[in-house]
Amino acid sequence: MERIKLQSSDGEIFETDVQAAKCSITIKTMLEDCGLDEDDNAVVPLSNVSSNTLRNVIHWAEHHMDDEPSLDDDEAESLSNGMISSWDKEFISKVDQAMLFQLMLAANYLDIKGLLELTCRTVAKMIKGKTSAEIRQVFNIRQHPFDHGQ
Amino acid sequence: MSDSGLDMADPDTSSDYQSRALDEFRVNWQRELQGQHEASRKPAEAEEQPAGFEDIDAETKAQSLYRTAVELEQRGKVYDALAYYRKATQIVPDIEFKFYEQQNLKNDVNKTYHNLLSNFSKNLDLHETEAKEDVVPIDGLYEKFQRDLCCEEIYGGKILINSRDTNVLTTGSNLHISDLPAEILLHILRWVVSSQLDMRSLEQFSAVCKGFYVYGRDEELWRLACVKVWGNNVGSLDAKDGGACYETWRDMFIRRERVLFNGCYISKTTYLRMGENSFQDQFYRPLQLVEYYRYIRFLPDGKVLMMTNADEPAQGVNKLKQIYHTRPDVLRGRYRLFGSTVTLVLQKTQQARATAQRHRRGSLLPGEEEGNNTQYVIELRIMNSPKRRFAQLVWSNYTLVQQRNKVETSSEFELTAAKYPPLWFSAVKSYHLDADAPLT
Repeated sequence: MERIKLQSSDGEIFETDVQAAKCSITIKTMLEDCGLDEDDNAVVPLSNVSSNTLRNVIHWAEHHMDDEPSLDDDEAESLSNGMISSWDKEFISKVDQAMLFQLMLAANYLDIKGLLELTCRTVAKMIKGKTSAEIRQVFNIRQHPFDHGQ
Repeated sequence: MSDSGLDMADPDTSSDYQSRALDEFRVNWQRELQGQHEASRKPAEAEEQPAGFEDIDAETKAQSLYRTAVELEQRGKVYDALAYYRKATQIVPDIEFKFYEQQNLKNDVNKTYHNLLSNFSKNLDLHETEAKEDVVPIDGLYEKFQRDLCCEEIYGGKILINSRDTNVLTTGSNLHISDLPAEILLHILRWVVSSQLDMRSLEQFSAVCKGFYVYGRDEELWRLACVKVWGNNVGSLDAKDGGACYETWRDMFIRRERVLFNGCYISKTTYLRMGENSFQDQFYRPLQLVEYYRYIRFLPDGKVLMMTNADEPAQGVNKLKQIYHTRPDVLRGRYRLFGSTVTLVLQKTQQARATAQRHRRGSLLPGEEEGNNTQYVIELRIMNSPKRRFAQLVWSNYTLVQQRNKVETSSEFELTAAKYPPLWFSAVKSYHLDADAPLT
């Protein structure tokens, strides 16, 4: 099993499976284009992802690295069946709101579709069926102050 | 008369002179009169005024004394106040009443003044709303909010303000929803709207703040929703083929006839049925009151579920909650919108159809059941209720199409009002609690 090292924005280095890392299209293309594949001691710097976030992302990716070898289509199919897998459910329930947004940004940056869908869906669920006042409360949103000019 | 006679006799000299003298006299007399009048008026006025001034002077003095007395009393210095009260009453004995009246007068003036103002502003408002009505306020708000959001000093380039301290935010690890880029937020919104077209949640989201409002009015979201509802017939906003014109896709979604998705349409049918007499008592004739409900739930992807059931709506609607694994007593089918009518084609049960298909594929000799097919074709008219758009469906056609041994027979049901009452929409919150797929 090939291993790869990923470096978070704050300098921490994580070692993980290449296949798990390749859940990220960004890393995958990086490896293929830059030929980092051959170099065993290569460290992929991820300057936009903090170590806390990266730990979660790798945790998610290591679980999902096997279930989507055939790329997005299949995975989108499994999502559209309407159910979140119980593993994902547990994974996302352990994450607080700030981390959820972190994961979103990371998934967006690393181009991990499955994780992005999962997080977006989780946030959407926090919005659905609520009144605007409840949404404000959930996300800590202050109402805009009235304009000064008018 | 004699004068005139004279005039006539001596036109050029005497009449001229006379008239001039007369004029002079008149002028003099008038001047004199005026002078007298003024003279007589002046002293009177001169007398009155000082007295009046004095009066007013005294009164204002008394009033100011009285006012300070009141103030003192209000501050709790009653003894000091008493001295002022006394002084005030010494000058004007009935100062209390006068003060009170004056106060009232002031209030009245203030009130009328304020009323005037508010009336004025009301008028202005009226004008404004009148003007707005034909300019479409939605657009105005949208543009205004977009402009507001560009004001860097208020929003700092963000789409909304969070309630937390700005200092906390700078740490970076503690993200707020406002830190998400637009593409992610819009993707979240696709999940919010989802394949079920939960526009209600989207509208609630828009009501949160200006930033969310701008996102909630994203045209692409609404366009996708429209495409989902009307499919290939969605057309364009400016409808060249004689249809209605729409300002935005959202406008189309709201105004154009469609069915509602966040609940189901329910009708209740009641009828009486004669029961059988019991053999013991010939005079006992039981009468049975039969009550049943018809439920129709439309799904945005063109599918429809129908069920007739004796359950009360509270339980009945739950039986249509599962859209993938439906119960056997639920008819499944598809529907289409044509203007204000919706046409449903329903099949008895999916299982039966599935086996029929397998037969067709599997066996060379098609079995007899293969040709047997029962279809319910229903046409309903979409009507508005006073409270909600598209909340009522009125029966306009109901045909049973049976295929037996390649012979198609169709029979129409008689749509009596008692047996086929209109269906009324009622929202079911649990239908839209979780999304199963994002809006695409």
